[in-house]
Amino acid sequence: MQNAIELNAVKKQLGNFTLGPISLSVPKGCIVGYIGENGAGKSTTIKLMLGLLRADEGEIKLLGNNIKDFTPEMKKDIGYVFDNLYIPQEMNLKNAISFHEKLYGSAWDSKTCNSFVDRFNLPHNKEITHFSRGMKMQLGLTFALSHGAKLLLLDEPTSGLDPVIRDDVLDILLEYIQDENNTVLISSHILSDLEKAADYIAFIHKGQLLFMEQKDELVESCGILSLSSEQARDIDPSAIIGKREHKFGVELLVRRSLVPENMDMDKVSIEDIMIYMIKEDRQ
Amino acid sequence: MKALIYKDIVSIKKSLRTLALMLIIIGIVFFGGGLIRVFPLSFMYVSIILTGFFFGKDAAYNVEQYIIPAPIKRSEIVLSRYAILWAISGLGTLLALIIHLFDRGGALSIPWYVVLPGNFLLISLISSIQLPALYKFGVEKGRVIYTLTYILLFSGVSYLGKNKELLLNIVETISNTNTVLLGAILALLAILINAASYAISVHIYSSKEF
Amino acid sequence: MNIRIKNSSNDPIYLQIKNQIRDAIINGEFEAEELLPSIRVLAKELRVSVITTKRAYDELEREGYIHSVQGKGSFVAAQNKELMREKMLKKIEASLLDALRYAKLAEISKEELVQILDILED
Repeated sequence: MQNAIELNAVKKQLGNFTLGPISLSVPKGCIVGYIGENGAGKSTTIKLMLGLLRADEGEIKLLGNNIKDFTPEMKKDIGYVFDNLYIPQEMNLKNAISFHEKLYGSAWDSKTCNSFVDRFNLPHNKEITHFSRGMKMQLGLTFALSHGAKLLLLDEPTSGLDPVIRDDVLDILLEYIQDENNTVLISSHILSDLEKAADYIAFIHKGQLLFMEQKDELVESCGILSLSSEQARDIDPSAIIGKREHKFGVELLVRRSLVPENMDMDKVSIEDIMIYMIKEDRQ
Repeated sequence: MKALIYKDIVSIKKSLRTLALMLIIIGIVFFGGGLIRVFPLSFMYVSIILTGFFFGKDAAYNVEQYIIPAPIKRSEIVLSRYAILWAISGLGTLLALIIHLFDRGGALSIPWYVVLPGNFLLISLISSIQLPALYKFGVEKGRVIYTLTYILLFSGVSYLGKNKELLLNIVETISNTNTVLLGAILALLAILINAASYAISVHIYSSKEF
Repeated sequence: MNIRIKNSSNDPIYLQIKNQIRDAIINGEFEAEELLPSIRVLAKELRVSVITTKRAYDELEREGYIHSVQGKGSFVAAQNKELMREKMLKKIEASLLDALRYAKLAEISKEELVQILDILED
């Protein structure tokens, strides 16, 4: 088993929205940033992986097993965090821990759970309803990491949180990935988080997976050219991924390999790539 | 399943006290009205109300999205709800038996083997209709069903309360028929209806998407 | 060993890491056969992708600065002083050739070049 996640021509129709067909392989031991606009299909993909939705076509394998054949025992290997902590908010910390302890049985790791609770400084007596958004996410992450999961599926966990908390999440994911059998897929539209730590970037747009590439290669293979409109005409059209025209010239997102080497190019960020590609699609 | 029952109880623990208080008041009212034998039937309200609470909480906090990917089968998620329903029905039935032991005599001379399945059937009946409906239509539309059953019950009980003779007639007819057979039929009916309800709920829930 | 990653640098991150580790090895900051931090630890500390650190180590290994043992980690290769000197000489030659080329373009005399070298050394 080399791939932690395998999607094979997965398709799902939800009203007017069509996801896929998506094929995607995630090798184990890495962090994948799953990016795209709101409504691009990030959550739908993750819900399909978690069995909340059922694919119309194609198959999904997590940790080598088809999710259709998942037993409760296999599900213990999957940790998940959503944009909110979806458990009864009347629970306090003790109740919530007790609930998860019963849910995960022998796989439950109290020590890890307690160490995260201490680390995050979560309040023991407050009901979850009085937790801040950040605290809820931290608690959700605590639960996801406290049953020996080999695969973490995180759906916009850090949306709406302040940068310091987002940064902590990054640290925790990097710690988690110290075990090379562990894998993370994290969806987000806040790209700065993923920019740092992700090994792969998968980009979904309007239900279609536009690419899944190694982040370094992706960033290194592209560049931004600032040119006058005349100069821009000389650029090989197949090199241009996206462009932004303004009154005083053009900025082009280009493939470095298809542009003469001596041209002065700016480095790109994942965000640049995403924005240029989405805007190009709109035109 | 233990986890889910725990979750359900914890999430409504504040409402439980109110519910207990309500039961006591109903009990006193029924006792005063000479209808203590009918009192265990009010447990059917308990199961209806609790079911409403549970589904309401789940919907409000999107709990299903959290427990479906957890290491538990969908059939067990459904079973956890039925377990609570059956526990309440059992409790009501037990209470009916105790009252039966202490309140012998009068026209109400129904044997215990009719009291037991009869109470269980009546207490679990509405919920076993309601649960599959809630799974199928969700809480919002399920509320309509909840209200309908509530009105039906309420008018039924108040009708019986106003027409005591009718109640007594029924009881009389029952006691004149073969009570063993009646008990057996009631028991069979109770099991069949609950089993069918559970099977239907599991079937509905298995194909549900979130 | 210190590693600094500059986002403003034109060098890709893996190259920055590779060069700095290489320099540390050449400067004798490591003992021969010393265990280097694992790619995962390095990635975590520097907050970069594991693939990035792996690539840096792969290049270092290819160039003979380190060697990796499956399941044990990466070790600093014993540096052959003579070989190292030769490598460095080659680099110096290449850089000087560049310097000469620029000097020719700008019509800078050899004496002036030597002067620059003296100044730079101070």
